[in-house]
Amino acid sequence: MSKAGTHILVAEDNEDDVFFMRRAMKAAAPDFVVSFVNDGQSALEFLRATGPYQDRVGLPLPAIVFLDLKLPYFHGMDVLAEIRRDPHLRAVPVVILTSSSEDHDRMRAESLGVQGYLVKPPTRAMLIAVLNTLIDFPRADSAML
Amino acid sequence: MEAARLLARGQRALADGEAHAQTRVLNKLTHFFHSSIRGRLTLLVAALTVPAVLLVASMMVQAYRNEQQSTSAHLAMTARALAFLVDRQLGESEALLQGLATSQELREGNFAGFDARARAATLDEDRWIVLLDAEGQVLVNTRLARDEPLPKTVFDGEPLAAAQQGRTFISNVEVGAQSRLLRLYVAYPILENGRLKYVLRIVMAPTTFSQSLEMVTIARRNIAAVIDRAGTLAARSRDGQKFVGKKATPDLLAALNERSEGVRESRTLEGIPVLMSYYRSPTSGWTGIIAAPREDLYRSVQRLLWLGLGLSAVLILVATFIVMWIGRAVVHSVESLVADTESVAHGGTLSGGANLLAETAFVSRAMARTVSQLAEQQQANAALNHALEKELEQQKRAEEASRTLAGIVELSTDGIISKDLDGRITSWNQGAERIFGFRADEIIGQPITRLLQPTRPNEEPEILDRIQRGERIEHYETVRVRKDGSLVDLSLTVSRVSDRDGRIVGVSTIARDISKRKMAEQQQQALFELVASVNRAEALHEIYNLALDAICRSQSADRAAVLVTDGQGVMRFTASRGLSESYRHAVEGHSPWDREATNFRSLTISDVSAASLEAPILAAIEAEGIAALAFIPLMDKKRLLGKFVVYYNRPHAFELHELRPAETIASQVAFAIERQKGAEALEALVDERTASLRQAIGQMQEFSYSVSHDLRSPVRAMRGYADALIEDYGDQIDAEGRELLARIRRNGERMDRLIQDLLTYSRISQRQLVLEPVSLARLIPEIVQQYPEMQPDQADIEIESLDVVIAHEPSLAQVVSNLLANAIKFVSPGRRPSIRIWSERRENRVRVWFEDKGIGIKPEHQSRLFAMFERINPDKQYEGTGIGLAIVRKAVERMNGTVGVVSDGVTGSAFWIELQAATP
Repeated sequence: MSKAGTHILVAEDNEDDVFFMRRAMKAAAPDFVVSFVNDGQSALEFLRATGPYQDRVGLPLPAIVFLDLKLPYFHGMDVLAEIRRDPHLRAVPVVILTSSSEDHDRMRAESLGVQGYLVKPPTRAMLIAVLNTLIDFPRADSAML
Repeated sequence: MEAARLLARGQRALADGEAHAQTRVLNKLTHFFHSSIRGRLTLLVAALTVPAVLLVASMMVQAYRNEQQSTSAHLAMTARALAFLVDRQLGESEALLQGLATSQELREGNFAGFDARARAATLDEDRWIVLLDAEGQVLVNTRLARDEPLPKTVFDGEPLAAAQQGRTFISNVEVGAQSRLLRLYVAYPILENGRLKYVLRIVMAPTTFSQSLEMVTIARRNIAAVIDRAGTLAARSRDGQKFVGKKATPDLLAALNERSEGVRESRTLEGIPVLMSYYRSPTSGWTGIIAAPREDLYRSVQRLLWLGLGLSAVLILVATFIVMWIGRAVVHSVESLVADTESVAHGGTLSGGANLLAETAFVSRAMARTVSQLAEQQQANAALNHALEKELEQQKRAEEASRTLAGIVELSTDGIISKDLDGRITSWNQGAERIFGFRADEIIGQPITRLLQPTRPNEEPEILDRIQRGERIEHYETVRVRKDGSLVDLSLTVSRVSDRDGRIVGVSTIARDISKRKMAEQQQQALFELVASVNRAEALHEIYNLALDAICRSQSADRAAVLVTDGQGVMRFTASRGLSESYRHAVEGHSPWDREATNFRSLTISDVSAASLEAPILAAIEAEGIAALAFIPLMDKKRLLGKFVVYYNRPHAFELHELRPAETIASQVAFAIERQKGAEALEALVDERTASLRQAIGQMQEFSYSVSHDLRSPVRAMRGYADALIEDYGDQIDAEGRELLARIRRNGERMDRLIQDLLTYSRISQRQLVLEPVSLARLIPEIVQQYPEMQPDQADIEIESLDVVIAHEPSLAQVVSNLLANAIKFVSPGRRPSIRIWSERRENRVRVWFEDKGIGIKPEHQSRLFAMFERINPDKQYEGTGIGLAIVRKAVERMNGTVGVVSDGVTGSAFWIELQAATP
């Protein structure tokens, strides 16, 4: 499934983290299409192609959703719960963006079903590891080094 | 006539009065000097000092005379010398004239030539030569210019006579005819064939004598003067110009008339008192005078005078002092003797050694002996008197005793009862009547058993028994029956009554009513019990019931109730004894006190029927069968909390202070109420505070957690940007720039670690720990596995036998990894870390040791080791946050364990944690 144009959604409100994500993604998978939303509501609307994202033309469902838990208005946890409830979205792999490996929200997230964690700020190596696990991603280590 | 006689008599009377007064003073003085010691001493001193003073005076007079004599002799000599000096000066002038008289020019009648010769011979300005012929025509005058016309002078009288006889003539001082100046002259006649041809004169001013005056007045304040034959002053050493030409003092002139020389006390022309000496020269008839101011004479005498006066004064003072001193000593001694005498006279004692003088002491001792003899005698007399009095007294007492005894017995407040051996009452006083209610005529002759309680029938026979055995019974407390059947507490003192031969004939009983005392004892007991129970009581209702019982007992009340003010200020029955529901309902809410009052006193109603009460209340009270009642306020700090009410079924005369016990109980209860309220309020407050504190702690923990959490994001972002910079632009930045970036990164990492540690600590502190058995033997190798720096290629870690402990596994894992991280970190540079881990059982606990061979911790630092942010080793190479060991301690303590370290600070350290063992 690994191919250019693979679509990734990142729900993150922190500018810095957006920067690092964008940078790491560029380094890990430069030909992926990465969309960013900065609150929970937008994340759901994007996934459902509703609201401002009605004309999300040509873009399939993201192959992975990177989800920050501390999102404004609509908490990441609620977004996750909504994704898992929605039959159309249920299959989408979700990776939690977390600032601490000991975050106590992790327990709850685990129970709702997540595919992985990424401790911020993400680095290229971390992303490659995650992508490798979740999609058929070529081991880029040799290619990049 | 009559008047004159009266006057004469008055005068006589006056004189008599005066004489009388004088006599009186004289008598007093005579008495003083004759009869007092001080007077005689004064006389003695006077006898000694008066001659001394007289001697001094006579010495002074003598000294003055001596001085006068020596001065007089000196002055006489000087006066004579002065006269001689004058004579010599005049003689010299005569000699000069004799010389000129023989000159050739004069013989030839060549006056011009003579004039020149005369001018040459003249010695000074004040002396000049005049030549006259026999008629008085001036032929030569050396004072005038040569061509001046020469006058004719008057030439007659004595000068002419002397000239005709060929005698040299010395004039008196006179005023010159032409010059109008004072002058005198010496005239020498020149005769030719016995006839007067010329007279040669040497004329001079009186100043001529000034040199002579100076010679005799050197160095003294004396005055020298020269007078001519006529008594005119020719020269004077002081104020010459003023006095020359004037006549001498009449006193001096008179003296000169009598004698040609002498010394006398006189006055000068100015009036200065002087000692004056004069001498008239027999040759010239001129007189020399020397006068010494008497003042000068006195000066030395004056010095003597002062000395004499001073000595006399000192002498008199010393004498006076001695008189006083001796006089006082004597008077004191005498006074002391007098005091002793008076003291003895009034039956006192002698003062003993107060006498100052041996003589009086002697008298005093003699007196002492006399006094002691007197005292002995007196004692003997007194003893005799006493013996006599005693005998009299005994007789009198014997008479009175029987009379008094009867009175005492009758009036005593104690009951005094006597009975015969059969137990019949034989005497009965008023006290007994008061106690028992029987009159004497009612009871005398009756058996004593009338007074006994039926429940104690054996008491009286027993008492009688004991008395017959010879015992005396005192303060025997018992109960007897009154006439009305009520009981009375008594204290009995029983003794035997014997006849003259000592045989027992009856028994006498003194009965004291001790019901009041018994009552007080009962009240006190009730109080003690109440206080003890109140302190033990836990709830207020318990206290009210205890208090009611105590009040009923102490006040001997039939019923009682406690009412407490409720929230609306209405008093409600809270507990009661023997009151009906309807009564309580009827009177509730009524208060005998004004609600606004600040001072509440107990109130009593002795007889309800006599009291003015509201009709409904009265009805309720009477329906309840209450005859008397009392209200006792329950007060706390002047606030009325409620009241106690005691009820009596019969009218009750309240005595003063009778309600004291109830008041004391009331104050105890009021205190207990307040205490209870305070305790309840306190408990509520504590609960409230605890809840709010818990909430605050929770909020704090939440806050610190989220703060720490939020702090991490920017730190990580900084690190990330630094990394990005190095990665993307590393080749464009020089080495120093890269080093700076590396530092930013390192500091970011450090801060991240610090925050992470804080988070850990905070989590360890607050999270709920579920303690369960944890196998150390499994856990520790697992942890070691996780750290690359603890692998065998980098460190020696030796794990020995390990137990199972009761712990919270995640927390214990945190503890172990922190301790291992420290053991790895704190080694000397270049050394390979070496750690040994084992555990040991200590009764029901397990101590786990982590021993390293690192740099160790000095004992003085060990106490601070487990505190927050304490970094013992400041060395850069052992970088840390200072939180690691604080986390260890916190975690271990939360698992009910302890932590510690053993280290000598050189050869490494051994940290231990002690936890509950999983197996007993």
